[in-house]
Amino acid sequence: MLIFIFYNTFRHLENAEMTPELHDDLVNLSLDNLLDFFKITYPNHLRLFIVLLLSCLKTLVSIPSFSLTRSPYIYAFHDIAIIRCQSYLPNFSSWLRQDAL
Amino acid sequence: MKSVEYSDILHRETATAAFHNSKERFDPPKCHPNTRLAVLTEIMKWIKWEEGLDAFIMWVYGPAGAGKSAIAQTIADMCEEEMILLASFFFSRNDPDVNRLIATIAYQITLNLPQVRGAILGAIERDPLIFFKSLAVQFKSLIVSPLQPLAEAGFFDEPTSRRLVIIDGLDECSDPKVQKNILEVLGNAHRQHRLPLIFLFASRPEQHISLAFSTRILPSSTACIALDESYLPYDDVRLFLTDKFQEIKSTHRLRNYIPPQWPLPNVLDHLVKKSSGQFIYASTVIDYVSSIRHKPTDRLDIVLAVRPPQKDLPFAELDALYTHIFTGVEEIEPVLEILSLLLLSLTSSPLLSTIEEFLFLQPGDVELYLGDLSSLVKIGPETIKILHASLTDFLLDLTRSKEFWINPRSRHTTFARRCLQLLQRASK
Repeated sequence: MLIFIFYNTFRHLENAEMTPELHDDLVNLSLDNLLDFFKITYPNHLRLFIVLLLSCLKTLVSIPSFSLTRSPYIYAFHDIAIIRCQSYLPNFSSWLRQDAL
Repeated sequence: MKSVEYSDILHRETATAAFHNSKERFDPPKCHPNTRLAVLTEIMKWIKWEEGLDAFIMWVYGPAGAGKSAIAQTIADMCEEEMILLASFFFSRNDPDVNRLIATIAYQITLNLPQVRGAILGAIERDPLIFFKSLAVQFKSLIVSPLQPLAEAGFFDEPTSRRLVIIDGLDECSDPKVQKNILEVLGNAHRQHRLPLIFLFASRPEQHISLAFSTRILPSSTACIALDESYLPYDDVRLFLTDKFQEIKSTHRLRNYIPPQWPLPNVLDHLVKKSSGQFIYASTVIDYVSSIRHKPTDRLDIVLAVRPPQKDLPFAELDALYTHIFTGVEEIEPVLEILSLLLLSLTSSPLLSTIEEFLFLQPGDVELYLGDLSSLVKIGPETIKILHASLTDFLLDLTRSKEFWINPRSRHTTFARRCLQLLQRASK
């Protein structure tokens, strides 16, 4: 079940309509809990999770509809996500900067 | 690294579900006995060089449900039997991953031409990351170059040599640009390296594919077969329906309630006409009528009551049947939600238990909800399979499915929220 969610979260997010409810669900996501969870439970998926998360956020912040009122939160979430994810995978920071961000 | 490990790399990159004889494609659509004879004969003559048709690609195209995959499958089975099939790749809309195309063909070449196995594994040894390279590079390294010595020795000059590659459902492959790229790669390989293989493609006549066959992307030495009325599909549909109704009359558990003259000749005529020569209509009718939970005579009466809203639309008849089937569904919203998840998720066939958990349903609910759709979806012990690719087109097209339309944006939004909530819950 979690693997199913893992592979589909970003597909659905990238194709979704960013309603206020979805926006709030996203920016209120507890990133540290999530990263810790993947690090402990699915360590082999951590790197892919981070790449997908950052890539998805990059796509989302580039969507024009995010210039609406709530967008600063998404941008902030995007920036925080980059910092938090890099701290989980410091060795990949330069690669992430180049390819995923 | 040993050659065993290089073959492991090749195995890992191979899409086993794409083989024509893959267990994951168990009971694939095939031409009904004694149908499609003209088109099958024409393709076989091309393969065996019987009429000197010097085309390195043959493209079989036709509308959804015309039976292209069944033809490709039948040709694959026939050529496998005659040991002239080199490789096959059947794209699936549920798994349109093109990245494994070359590896899958290369793997089959290692099996069917063992003398080339060393050269293919050698190419992987020289570049273990070959599968991260472009399609063109993979094709040259893993197929063109390894086959070159055999080609120069005249191996492929014999019409009975293993040189046929079948690629079905190119239009199911995710990105039109990639579809075009596949044809470009083949065209270039043919021009530059005198590629000794021949390729049978079967697909819908999507614009970008049609364009590739009508412009300089491909060399002029290509042949096309349009699955149109010139192949008398109505006669084939009639034969198919006649045989299947006979089968229902002799094997259905409620066969004692079926009159011997059923169905009447005018009913058969009507169904043949309504099929528009497309097997999907005929097979959908038969699946619907042969449901073991219902009287076949009642089911056929329901089918005959269908009145298409408009004439001359290519899928009007089929849409009318789909609409009719969906109209009979007792609780439509959970059914559409389940189908949305199947159509919009990345995982090709999620487990029933996963669907139920994700959609907050009780165990067994999916099977109950989809019970009315047994002629459109097959519910296995653990997974669900949508039997007709055209059902996806129907459900995602508002003008065709109307009240049964699956709005992708809205569904993606619901599912994205569900994913985030479940992730959050799991990580607490």
